[in-house]
Amino acid sequence: MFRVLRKFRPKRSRRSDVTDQPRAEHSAEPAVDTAAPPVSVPARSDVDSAPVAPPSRRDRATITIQPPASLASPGPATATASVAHPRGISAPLVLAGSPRLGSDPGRIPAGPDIVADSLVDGGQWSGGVIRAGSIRGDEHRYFGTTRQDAMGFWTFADPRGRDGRGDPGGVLLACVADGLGSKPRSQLGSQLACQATRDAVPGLLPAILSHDGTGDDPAGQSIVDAVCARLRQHAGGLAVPADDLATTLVAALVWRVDAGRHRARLVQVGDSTAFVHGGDGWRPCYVADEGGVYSTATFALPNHVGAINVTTIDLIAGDLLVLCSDGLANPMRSPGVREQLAEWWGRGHIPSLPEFYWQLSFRAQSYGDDRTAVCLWIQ
Amino acid sequence: VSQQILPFYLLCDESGSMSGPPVEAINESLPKLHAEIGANPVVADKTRFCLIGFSDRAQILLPLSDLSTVTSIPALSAGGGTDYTNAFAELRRAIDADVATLKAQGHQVYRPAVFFLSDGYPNDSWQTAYQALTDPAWRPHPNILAFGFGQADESTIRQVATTMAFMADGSLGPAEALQEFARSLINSIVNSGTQSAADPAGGAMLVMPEYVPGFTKIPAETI
Repeated sequence: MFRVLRKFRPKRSRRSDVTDQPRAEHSAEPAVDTAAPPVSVPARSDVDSAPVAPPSRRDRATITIQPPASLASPGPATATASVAHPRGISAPLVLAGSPRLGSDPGRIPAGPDIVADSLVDGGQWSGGVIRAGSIRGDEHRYFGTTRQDAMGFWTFADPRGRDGRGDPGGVLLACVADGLGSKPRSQLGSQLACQATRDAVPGLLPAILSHDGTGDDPAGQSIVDAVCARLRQHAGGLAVPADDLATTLVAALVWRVDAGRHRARLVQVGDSTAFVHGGDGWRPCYVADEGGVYSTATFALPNHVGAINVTTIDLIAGDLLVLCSDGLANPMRSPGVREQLAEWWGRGHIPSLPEFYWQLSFRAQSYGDDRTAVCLWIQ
Repeated sequence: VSQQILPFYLLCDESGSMSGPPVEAINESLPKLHAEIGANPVVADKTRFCLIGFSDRAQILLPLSDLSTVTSIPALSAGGGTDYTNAFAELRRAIDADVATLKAQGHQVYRPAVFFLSDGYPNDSWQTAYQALTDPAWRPHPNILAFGFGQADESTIRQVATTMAFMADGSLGPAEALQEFARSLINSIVNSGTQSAADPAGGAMLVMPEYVPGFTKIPAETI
């Protein structure tokens, strides 16, 4: 696969052109039998014992690299990367970069707590239409490990219905939770976080709906407390540390305020987040700190809650509220991804379930995390 | 186009005391390291690689690159003294410039990872340059894994490491040992961890291997 050539090389400047060399150059060197023992590195003592030249003028050999086939770029990231399947179904579209990581369910995970590779769901409620999907990240697929994201949505009777202003399924709850990749059973934690939120909401609804949205709604703390209690209880039953179930959570309650307006109250712990797409394009509901280097570390339930971020936003007909894991939020940093999603989901266009699943399955180089989104189109 | 990028720096001692088997082993292992990275598309999609050699001076032999575009790497060539100050200063300059460039291009940049390979006999007083490299107030300060080669000075190797240090135990040749290490590291890369409220910027990108054939693991020493 490689050989060392002895030849004098002039000083390489920083930012040399080495990365710009044409790919074909390596073929100009004689091939070396890859099965040969590493005798292709010649003895170096004659050079090493010579008077030492300044490093900038040192006699350096060159190690020739034969790129493994797996490093070959799959080609430009264009719409042509989506090749029509013979039966008319398209492969996932590449929206950013040239991913070498494939996108296919691959090995079936083993273990007691594995969940389906993908979920797709949808529905209607009095406020609009829902499309939701949770897709195992291509990295989990590659390593044969299970999806750790979870999601859910439910409706509740509007407790104000008694005075005639509400309706039976008038309040929608949507949740997205992302079990931490470093924790072996976090897929249980993310599911439990969604279920515990669902179970906590009915008792909190009157307070949440009557809260005017100024200052923090104490219901955020109540929901977090309920989720933490559920996670700790479940971990206790399994006799595992509660951290093994560590998960993020973003939840939204959406209800009608008046004829033209819905209100959403969001509760967030960790790096799952939310966006609104409206007449002025995409707006993040939460602003991430972009100052330093990126870290996959996140605040998480139940033991590293950090901040509980509660926010209230008003939505009008035509708005789209997206709750998502960072498996969607991170690739949305690319303008091409944001623009394509706006093209698919903006201006009130609601995809069919199969369309939505295919759209959410887009590929972007280096982004191989589980991807989950619950999309609410307000009507 | 935004990507998540792990900048990975190999900082190699090529002083005279590394001549012979140690530097030959590193030269042998470079294509193997490349192959290990290339064999894993998860890592290949995220990793950028830079090679710096140092003796009396430090020199960037391969600027931070996507390995799929690299067709040759200048080999290490042993000779001269061992100046850690120049090595750490050049590494800090490179990281500073590379991270700024990548972030300006819209990328999410993981905390850089450094493999430091040396036999651990510096000729200089290097603590000041090392503190500048590892200063928590300098936002892209790297995670450093240090490897002791040959008859390495264990205490120096421990002091340079921020994360973990490894001493070659002689059961494997240095090239094989380094390859084993790369394989272990690459197979454990990219897992999220919990963020602690006390250290919101913390959390490790690299999950360190518990056992690497051919190496004895020793804890890093805070200096």
